[in-house]
Amino acid sequence: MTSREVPVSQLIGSMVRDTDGRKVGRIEELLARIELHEHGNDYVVAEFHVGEYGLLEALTGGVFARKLAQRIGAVVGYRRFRIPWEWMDLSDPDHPRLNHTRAELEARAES
Amino acid sequence: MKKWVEIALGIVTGIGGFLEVGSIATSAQAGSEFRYQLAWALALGVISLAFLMEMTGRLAAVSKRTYVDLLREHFGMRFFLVALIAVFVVSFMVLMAEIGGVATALQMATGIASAWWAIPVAVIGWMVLWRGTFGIVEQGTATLGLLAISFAIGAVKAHPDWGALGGAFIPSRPTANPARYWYLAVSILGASISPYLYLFYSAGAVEDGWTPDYRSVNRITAGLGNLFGGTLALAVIVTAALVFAPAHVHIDKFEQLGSLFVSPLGRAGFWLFVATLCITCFGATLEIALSIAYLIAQGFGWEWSENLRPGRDSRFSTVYTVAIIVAAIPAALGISALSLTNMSMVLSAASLPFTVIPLIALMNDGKVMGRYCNGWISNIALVAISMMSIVLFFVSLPLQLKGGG
Amino acid sequence: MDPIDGVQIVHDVLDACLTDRKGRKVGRVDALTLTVTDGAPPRVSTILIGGQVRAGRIGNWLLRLRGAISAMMHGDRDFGVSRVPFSAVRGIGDTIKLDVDAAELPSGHLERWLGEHIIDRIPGSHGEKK
Repeated sequence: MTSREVPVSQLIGSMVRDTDGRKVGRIEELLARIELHEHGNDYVVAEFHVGEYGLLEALTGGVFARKLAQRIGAVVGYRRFRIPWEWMDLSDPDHPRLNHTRAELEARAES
Repeated sequence: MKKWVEIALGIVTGIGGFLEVGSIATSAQAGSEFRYQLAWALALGVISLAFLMEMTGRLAAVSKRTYVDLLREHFGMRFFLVALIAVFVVSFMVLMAEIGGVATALQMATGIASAWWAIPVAVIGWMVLWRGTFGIVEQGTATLGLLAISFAIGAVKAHPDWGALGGAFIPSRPTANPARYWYLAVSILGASISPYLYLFYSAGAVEDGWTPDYRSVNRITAGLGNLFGGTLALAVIVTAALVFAPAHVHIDKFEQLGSLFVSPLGRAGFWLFVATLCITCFGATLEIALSIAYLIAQGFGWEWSENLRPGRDSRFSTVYTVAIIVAAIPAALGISALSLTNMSMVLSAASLPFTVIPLIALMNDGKVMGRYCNGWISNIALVAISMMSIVLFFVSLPLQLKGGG
Repeated sequence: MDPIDGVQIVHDVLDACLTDRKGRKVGRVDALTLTVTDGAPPRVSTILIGGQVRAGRIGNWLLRLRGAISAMMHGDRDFGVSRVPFSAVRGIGDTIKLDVDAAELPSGHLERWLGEHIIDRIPGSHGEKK
C-alpha cells in the first residue's frame, strides 16, 4: 500500500477527467467527515466537489471568478458533481482521474 | 441610552473624518477652477462611500470578522495578495500625503518649513498609537475634528448662489479644459472613496465589539456621518469658487489655501483653516497607519488590536511603526503635500475594483450574513459602484497623465 | 441545495484563522496536506503555517526566491514553517482551535524576535492600555 502526501492546493482547481479522458470539471471543494478514534479524531475526505462551468470554463481559473460564476449559476451552464472518494484516482495528483465514466457519474447524480 | 452615545459618536467621527488632505485639496482645486460644477462628483463620492461603509460595517457586526479576514478566507491567497498590494500601495501614498498635510499646516502656523515638521509629526502620531487605545484614537480625532464645522460657517457667510449650487448636483460637461475637469472629478472620487476608509471602519467595528444590534448605529454613522462630512468638503468647493475662481487663482501650493476663509471669517478664518487641516490630517495619519497594519496582520493571521499593549502583538505594532516613520520621508525631503496628494487620489480611485467587487459575493452569502444579507437597494448600489470602479480603473492613468496639474 | 454533512476543507479550513490553547492567534491555515493511500479515503494530515508556505501558494518562483533568502539568513530553506498535525485540531468554527502552544511554533519566530529585540526595548510596550 503506497502512501503519498498531496498538498490540497495542488488539487484545488485541477481538472478531473474520466476513464475515457473526457473532462468532468475542476475540483472546487473537499468534503471531510470526522472519524472518531481513541487517539484522536481523523478528518477523512468523503467527497470531492467538482464544478463544470460550461461557457465560462476558460475564464474561471481563479477562485474569485469561480465564486461569481457560482452565483450566476445555471445561467452560464454551471454544474456541480459530488464525487465519492472511491471514484477518484489520485495516483497522479496533478491529473486526478475518475475511475468511472462521466456518464456513470451523471447517472449517479440523477438518482 | 448607550446606543444614542454611539450614534452621536458615529456622526461626530464622520464629520471630521471625511475631511483630510485629499478631500480638502481636491475640493479647493475643483472650486477654484470649475466653481460649483464638480459638486456632483463629491455627492457621488459621498453616497458611494456611505453605502460601502454601511456594508463593511454590517459585515463585521454580523460575522465578527473584519472585511480583510473575509477577503482572505473566501477568496484565497492569490486574490488576497493582489488586493493587499493594491490597497497597501495606495494607502501608503495617501499616508505620505497626510503627514505632508499636517507638516504644511504647522508651517503655515509657525513659519518653520514643513520639512522640519514631518518627522516630529510622525513620531507624535506613533506615540499616540503606541500608548493609546482604539477608543482614544477614534474619539480623540473625532472630537477635535468638529473644528471643521467652521468651514460650513465660512461657506455660508461667503453668500453662495444657492440656486446655482443646487444645479451643480446634476452632472454637467465642462465648458473648457475637459481633461482637467474629468481628472478632478476622478480625484474627488478617489479622495472620497479611499479603500482604507471602509477597511478601517470594518476593523473598528470588530475593535468596538459590534453585534447585529448595532445595525442602526452602523447605518446612521455611515450615512449621516458621511453626509455631514461631505457637506464640509462641499463648503471648501463653494468657498474656493467664491474666493479663488473670480481671481483665476490656480492652486499649486497648500499655503494658498490659508486665505480661503479669510474674507468670510476674517483673520480667524486663517487659523481655523490651519487648525482644521492639521487635526483632520493627523487623524487620517493615525487611521491609515492602523489600516495598513490591520491589512497585513489580519491577512496573514497575526495577533492584532490597537487595544492590546504593543508587546502582545509585535508584528502588528512593528508594521504601523515602520509605516508611519517611512511615510514621513517624502515630506521630510521637502516634497510638497499638494504633489503627494494629487498623485495618490487618482490611484486610489483606480484601486477600487479589488475591494468593491468582492463585496457582491460576501454581502449576499447567507452563511456569512445570515438574515442580514443585502436587500435590493444595497445590491443595486453595490453593482452600480462596482461598474463605476471598473470605469475608474481604466480611465485613471490616462487622466492622470493628461489632466494632472 | 443538498445539506452539507461534514467539513468543507476549502471553505471552512483553508485560510481560516488558527488559535492556540490559550486563544492566542497563531496564524492562518496557509496550506493543508492530504495523506493519500490506495484503497483508503484520503486523510487530512497536516496544517502548514508560515510565510514560506504562502509564497508557495502564489507560485514556484516566489517559493524558490523566498527559500533562497531563508537559506541565506537562517541556513534552512524551510525556516519558520510550522507543521501541525491535523489531530491537534480541537474545534472548527469561525476560527480553528489547536491544541498547541504558540511559543512552540516555528512560524511564530518573527513575532518572538521582534518582541524580544525591538518592541520590548521601547518604553511603554508593556504598560496596560486604559
